[in-house]
Amino acid sequence: MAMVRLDKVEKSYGDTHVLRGIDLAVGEHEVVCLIGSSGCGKSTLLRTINLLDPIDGGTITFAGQEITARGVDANAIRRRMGIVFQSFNLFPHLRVIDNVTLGLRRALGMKKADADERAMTLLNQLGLGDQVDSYPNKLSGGQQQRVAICRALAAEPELLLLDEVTSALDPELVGEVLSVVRRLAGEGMTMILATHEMAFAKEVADNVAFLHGGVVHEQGPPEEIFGDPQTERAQDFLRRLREARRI
Amino acid sequence: MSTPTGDTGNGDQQLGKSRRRPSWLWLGHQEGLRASVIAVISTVVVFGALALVVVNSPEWPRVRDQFFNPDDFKASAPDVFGGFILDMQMFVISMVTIPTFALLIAVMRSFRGPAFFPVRLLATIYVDVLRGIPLILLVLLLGFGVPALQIAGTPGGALFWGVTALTLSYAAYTAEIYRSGIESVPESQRASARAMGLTQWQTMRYAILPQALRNVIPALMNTVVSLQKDVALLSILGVREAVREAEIYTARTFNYTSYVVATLLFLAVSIPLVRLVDWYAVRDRMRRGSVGTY
Repeated sequence: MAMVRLDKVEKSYGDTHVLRGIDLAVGEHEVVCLIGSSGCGKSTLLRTINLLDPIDGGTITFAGQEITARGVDANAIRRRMGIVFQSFNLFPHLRVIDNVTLGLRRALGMKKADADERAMTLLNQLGLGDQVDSYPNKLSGGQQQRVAICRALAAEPELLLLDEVTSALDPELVGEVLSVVRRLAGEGMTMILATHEMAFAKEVADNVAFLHGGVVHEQGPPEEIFGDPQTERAQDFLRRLREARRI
Repeated sequence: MSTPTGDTGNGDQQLGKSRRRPSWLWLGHQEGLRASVIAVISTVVVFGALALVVVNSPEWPRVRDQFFNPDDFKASAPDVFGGFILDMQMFVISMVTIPTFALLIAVMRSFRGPAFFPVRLLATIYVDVLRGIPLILLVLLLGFGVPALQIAGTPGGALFWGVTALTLSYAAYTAEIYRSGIESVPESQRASARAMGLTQWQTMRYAILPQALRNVIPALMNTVVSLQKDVALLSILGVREAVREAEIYTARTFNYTSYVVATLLFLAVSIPLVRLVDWYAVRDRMRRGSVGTY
C-alpha cells in the first residue's frame, strides 16, 4: 500500500495555476525523485504534502488517512513528516542543539533531557557532535544543512521531504549532504526529493517523476526515465541538461 | 554604513581600529587628533558667540531675574523635584504596562487564518483609532471623563486614568513597532517552525518573537525616550508632577525659574537615555555587520 498518494492535486497562487492535477504514489521505504525545470511545481508539491500550503483540489492520503479532508489536525500530521528546505531555514537565535530539540520539546512534549539525548545521538551520527553549542551562522552551508536534516529526523518521521537540499550549497559541500541522504535511503527511509542532482537521482531513486506543466508528465524507474524517456518534453529536458553537462 | 572610525575602506589594515567599541559620547565621525582640536575650537566659538548675543540683549537682566533667579531656584527645587519623582514613577509603571499591552496587540494582529479574523480586526481598529487621537485629548477624555461617570468599583484618581491614557496611546504605536519586527522575520522561518508541528502560538513564541524583538530594540528605545517626557502631559489633569509643581510656584510668585528647574530635571534623565540609545544602535549595527545579517 502506498504511504503517500496524491490524486489530481491542484494548487494556484493567485492567477498562477502551479499544480494542475498531480497523481503520484510513494510506497513505504521508497525514494521518489521529482525532477523538472525550475518553477515546475516541485517545491509547491512538497509543501502541499506536509500541509504548509492548502490545496485547491484533489486529495492527499498519508498512511491510509486522507490528510486534505476537513477537520484533520495539520499539526499532528506534520509531526509525522520531516521537511528539509533549500536554504536550511535554521533558527538563527537558537544553538544547533536547540534547533534540533525545539520540535521535540514543544510539539511532542518531550522532556529536555530526553530531547537533548536524542538530538545528540543524531548530531553525532551526522558528524556534528562538536558543533552542538554553536549558532547556525558560525557553520558552513553543508553543516547547516546537516543540522536541518537532524532537525527533520529528530521526531522520527515516517516520511522525509527534501526540497532541493543541495541547491544553495557551494559545489564542494554538496557531497557531504548527499552522503547523508544516501545513508538514509539505505536505511529504508521513505523520501520524496525535489532535486537538480540528476546523477544522484539516478543512483538513489526507486522512482523518478518528471514534472511539467503542473502535472507528472512521465514517471518510472530511473533507468527508464534517464535512459529511454518516452515523452518529447522529458527528452527535451534531459537533452538540455546533457548539453549543460549536468548529467 | 558608518562606524566610529569612519569608512576608510582599507579592509585588513584598519581592522584593529574599526573594531573599537563605540563611545558613549559618539556624535559622528571623528578622525584623529587634528579633527578633535578643530571640533573643540569651532564649538567654543559658536556657543561663545551665541551666549554673547543673549547676554547683551537689552532685556537680558529682566529675563535672567525671571527665569534664572538663584533664590527662586532654591525655593522651588524641592517641590519640583518631588513632582519629578512622581514623573519617574509614572514613567517606570508605563514602561511595564505599554510593552506588555503592545505585544498583545501586535501578536493579535499577526495571527493568520480566517478563524482569527475577528481578533485581527479588533487589533487593527484599536491601532488605527488610538493612533488617530492626539495624546493630550486622550489624557483629558480619560482623566476627566471616566472619573465623572462615578462607576462603582473603578479607580477614580486622575493619576490612574492619566497613566492609562498614556499606556493606551503609546501601546498603539509600540504595537506597530513590534509588528514591523514580526514582519521582518523571513516567511521561511515560520514555515520551518510550522513544519515541525508547532502551533501558530508556539511558532510565534519560540521562533518569530525572539528574532523580531531583537530587530526592534533600537526603535523601542526611541519610544522610551519620548515617553520619559510625555508623562509631563498628566499635569493638565492636576496631577502634581514636576510641571504642575513648577506651575503652582509660578502662579504664586510670578517667577518662571521653577520651569527651568523642571527642564533641567527632565534633561538630567533624558540626555543619558538618548546617549544610551545611540550607543546601543551603533553597537547593534556593528555587531550585525560583523556576524552577518539575520
